[in-house]
Amino acid sequence: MMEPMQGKTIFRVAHILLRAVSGFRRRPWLHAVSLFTLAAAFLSFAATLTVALNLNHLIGGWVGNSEMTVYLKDDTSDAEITQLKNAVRAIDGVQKVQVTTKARAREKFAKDLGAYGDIGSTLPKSAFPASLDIYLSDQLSRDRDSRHQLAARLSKVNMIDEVELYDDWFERLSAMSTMGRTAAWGLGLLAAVVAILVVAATVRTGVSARRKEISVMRFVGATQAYVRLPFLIEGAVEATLAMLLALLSLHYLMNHVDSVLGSIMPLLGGGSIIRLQSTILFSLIVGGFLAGLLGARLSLRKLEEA
Amino acid sequence: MYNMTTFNIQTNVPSRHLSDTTPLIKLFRVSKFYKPENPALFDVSFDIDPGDFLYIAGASGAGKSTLLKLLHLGEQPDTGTIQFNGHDVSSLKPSAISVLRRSMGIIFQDFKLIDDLSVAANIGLSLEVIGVSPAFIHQRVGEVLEEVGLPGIEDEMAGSLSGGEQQRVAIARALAPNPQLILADEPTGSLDTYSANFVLDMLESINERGATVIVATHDRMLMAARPHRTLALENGKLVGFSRKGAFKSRDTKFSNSAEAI
Repeated sequence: MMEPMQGKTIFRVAHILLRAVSGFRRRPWLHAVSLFTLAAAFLSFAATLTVALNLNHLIGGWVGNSEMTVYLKDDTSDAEITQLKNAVRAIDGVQKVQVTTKARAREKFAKDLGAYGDIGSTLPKSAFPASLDIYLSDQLSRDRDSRHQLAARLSKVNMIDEVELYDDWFERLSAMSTMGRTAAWGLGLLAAVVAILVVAATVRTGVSARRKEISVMRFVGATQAYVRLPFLIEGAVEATLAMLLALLSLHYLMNHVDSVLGSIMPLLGGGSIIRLQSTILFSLIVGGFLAGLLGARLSLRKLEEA
Repeated sequence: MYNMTTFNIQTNVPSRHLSDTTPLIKLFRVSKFYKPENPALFDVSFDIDPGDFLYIAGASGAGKSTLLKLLHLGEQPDTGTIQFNGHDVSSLKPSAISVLRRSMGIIFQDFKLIDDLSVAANIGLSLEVIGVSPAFIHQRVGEVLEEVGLPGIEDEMAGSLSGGEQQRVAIARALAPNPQLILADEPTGSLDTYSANFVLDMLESINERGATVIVATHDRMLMAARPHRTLALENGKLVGFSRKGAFKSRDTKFSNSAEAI
């Protein structure tokens, strides 16, 4: 009697991996087209996400530091400033009051403008008034009317020249930020759908081209998992590679943006351009992997029915 | 009309092995219906012992391919049972069926080779699924190609070979994992006489080394030239049997066929 052969799991796994690799090798152009299509979809999502994050950061920089600024008249003495600071600090709903002297205002201007800081020396002394940055409690921050009443009260004080509330800016920027976030999520969803469809179409083409091979594999004793796993690996690897390619492209794109806009950002009050954090990058890579897996899984439904 | 339900081929047709051997395959009252009024197989019972060489004879549409599909576990019978080595296989999970198939080699009339793969890759398929090392596959492919008389063609594309060569490569693929059972569906159907004889020589040689060989064929000349135990099917029913060439049947048509053989 002939003895049937016994195999080892490690070699079975190796053959599955080799089959997945051979899928790429046998249809290189199809996979290249899919890879770049996926990478383009992922890049547009990641870029929009980056823009949204920067908008949030910018808005935070503008309104997060000071929720109300009171500019003082030029002839206000230091003693009067201290007296005013204590009076404002005593108002219900005011959490903190920070004084910016004329000298400090000029320094801050020079620092914020970086390379353009010299402009400050050409401006008149009155361009840098002393000011009070007033931080409000959450309750007062949320209550638009109370903030306006407080501003009106302060503007009546003799030594106060002007009260800045930032409301219009904040509302406009909030709307932009919300739009950016919505666009990022929308593109994210679109990128995921594109990824699933592109991977499904690619894997389906592979399954179709290898239908005879699959049927022979079943005749010779391949399990369902043995037949399906190479295609699942193919889909998941392709989408993951596409995501890595997209993130690498974004990295170089951001380098370019940094070189162009990096010096202007401080002028806008947002500090340096921020990039996607490592946790977001990791989530995007995992998301790409899962989208690829799901796309491949969908295309294998018919294989199971066959 | 012959009463198939009383037909017991095991008692009527002893195999060439001892009767106390557990049959390799046992079919008991197996029927398969694709259409309710027209069974592809009806109430078929027989045993196949380890080491048998068996023809399943019959005209086109007699049920030969259906019977091979059932033996290869590609389909389940609608009624009756099929046992392999004494185990009922009707309730096996798909993964267990795949494992069982690794102890069978199957050969088709149309070879079923992948044209755009090399000969080595085609033969290697039956070894990959078992999970043996690439080095062993390389060695074993060389051995089986030698056995089928085609040494050194590992790197040629399967699609570039002649029909006879393709069938020999298909036999090599079936042989590679040392199967206990070889199922051949009209293996000489597309071949010239020389290639057909070579294929039959191969199958007999495999059988002499201990593998059970089942050949479905409608080729009477072949069965006459190389007599082996034969089961005859007609319209899905088992209508006759023979030891080497000597048919017994109460069915008139089959008796005529048997005489022709």
